[in-house]
Amino acid sequence: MVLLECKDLSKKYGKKQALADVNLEIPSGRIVGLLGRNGSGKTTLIKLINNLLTPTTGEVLINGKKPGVESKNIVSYLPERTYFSRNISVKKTLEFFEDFYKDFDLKRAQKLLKDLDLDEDQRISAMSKGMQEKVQLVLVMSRRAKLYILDEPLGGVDPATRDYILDTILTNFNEKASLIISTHLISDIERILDDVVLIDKGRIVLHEEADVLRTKYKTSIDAIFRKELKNA
Amino acid sequence: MLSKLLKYDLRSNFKFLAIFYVLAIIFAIITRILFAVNDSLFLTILAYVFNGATIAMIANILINNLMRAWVYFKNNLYGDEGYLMHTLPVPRSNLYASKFLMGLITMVTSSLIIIATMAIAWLTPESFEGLKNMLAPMAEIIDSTAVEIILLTIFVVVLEILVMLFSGYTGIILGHRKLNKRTAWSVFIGFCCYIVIQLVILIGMFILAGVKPEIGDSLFSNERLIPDISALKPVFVQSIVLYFILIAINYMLSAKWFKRIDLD
Repeated sequence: MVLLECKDLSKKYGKKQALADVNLEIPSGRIVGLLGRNGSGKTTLIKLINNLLTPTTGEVLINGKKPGVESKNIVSYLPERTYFSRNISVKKTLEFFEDFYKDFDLKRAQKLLKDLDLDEDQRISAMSKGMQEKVQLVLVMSRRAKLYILDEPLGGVDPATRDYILDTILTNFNEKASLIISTHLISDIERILDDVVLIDKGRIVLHEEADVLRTKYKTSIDAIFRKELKNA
Repeated sequence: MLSKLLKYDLRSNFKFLAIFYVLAIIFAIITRILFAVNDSLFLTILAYVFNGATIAMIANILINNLMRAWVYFKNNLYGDEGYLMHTLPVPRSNLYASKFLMGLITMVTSSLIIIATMAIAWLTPESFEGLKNMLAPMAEIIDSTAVEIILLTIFVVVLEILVMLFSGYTGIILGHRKLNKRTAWSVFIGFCCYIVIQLVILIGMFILAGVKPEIGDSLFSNERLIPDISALKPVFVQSIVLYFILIAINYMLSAKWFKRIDLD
């Protein structure tokens, strides 16, 4: 079953073409790596999927429907920036998520916060950027969503925590759900990927199963990424 | 969901405004006490200092309420927090409605606090009688009471401030459709929106003057040295009706424009 479909999706900022004719289908039960250089169009694509940008042409369908209240009920999105008001405590963010998301699992969130040594009573403003990102990741992964979209979830965290976060992602996500993870830290995430989407200059240049790619090129996804972008 | 959004919006804003409310009331109480005691030069000077502080706090409440509402609107819907707000499973129209109601509620509350502050600081039976006597001839001509005139005036002033607030919202929405200099565009468009609303109200007055010549004579002619006070009531009534219509139109258009969004 196709969970996410992008049809001829394009986005222009003035004269600059950020995304061009993207056609993409993501079925359920897959972990997809959205890979590409900085400024290649990964975040633009993710924002379009989350209805944070208006497409210039084309459309996005989530579970067969255009982005709206229904799609937001089944999509759990982690942006590449911290989005909480700095004056509130972690506990308040939990309350906020519980208020708005029916699928939010408070106990799971509290357990994950404890595992990551994050204090519920601490204010967001008193936390480092890395800690804030961890809180956000915990909240996003504590939803029982059908589609998780994580934009650079490892960017601000130390290498030691990255493995824990990846394990957290893997152990907390439903097998029937799909996960799109955007990053340029490919070597860190390639072990968990089912599919790879490589994006460059606003166009999808490669979309293949990770195992097929490894077999075909007899090397890691990281090496394939470097090679493909060098040739591009 | 709208009630939940409104709860968070009101909490965020009142948390901030409450400080000014409390300070204004405290200053007003001190002013009143000091003017009542008033038995030495030092206390008289102190009374005038607190009198000034009360006036400053009243201005502060108004300005801060307006500025805070605009900044909150921008940060919450177009800043980093927008990434959370626009991905909540609520219709986009609810996001705007919540901010609109938040602006309305905080502004009405601030107005009530200002009236209360003024009453605490300066209202005495004598001053109230003086005001009533001053307005009594006017009230008699327009078949009303002094209190009604005061309330009507306050109501029009609050509506005027609300027009300013919602014009700012419209400016932010349209300004953020531009690629560059979004803040400058927001201010410019918001200002233009406010001017357009004022012009429409003025045109409404011209039309009213056309229909009722006595109002035209009173408002737009130099023939009368003393304006015809009987014209006051229809002018008030028409401007209130126009304010309501224009705020409603502004709300509908802004809510429509708000549906298309491009976050940074």
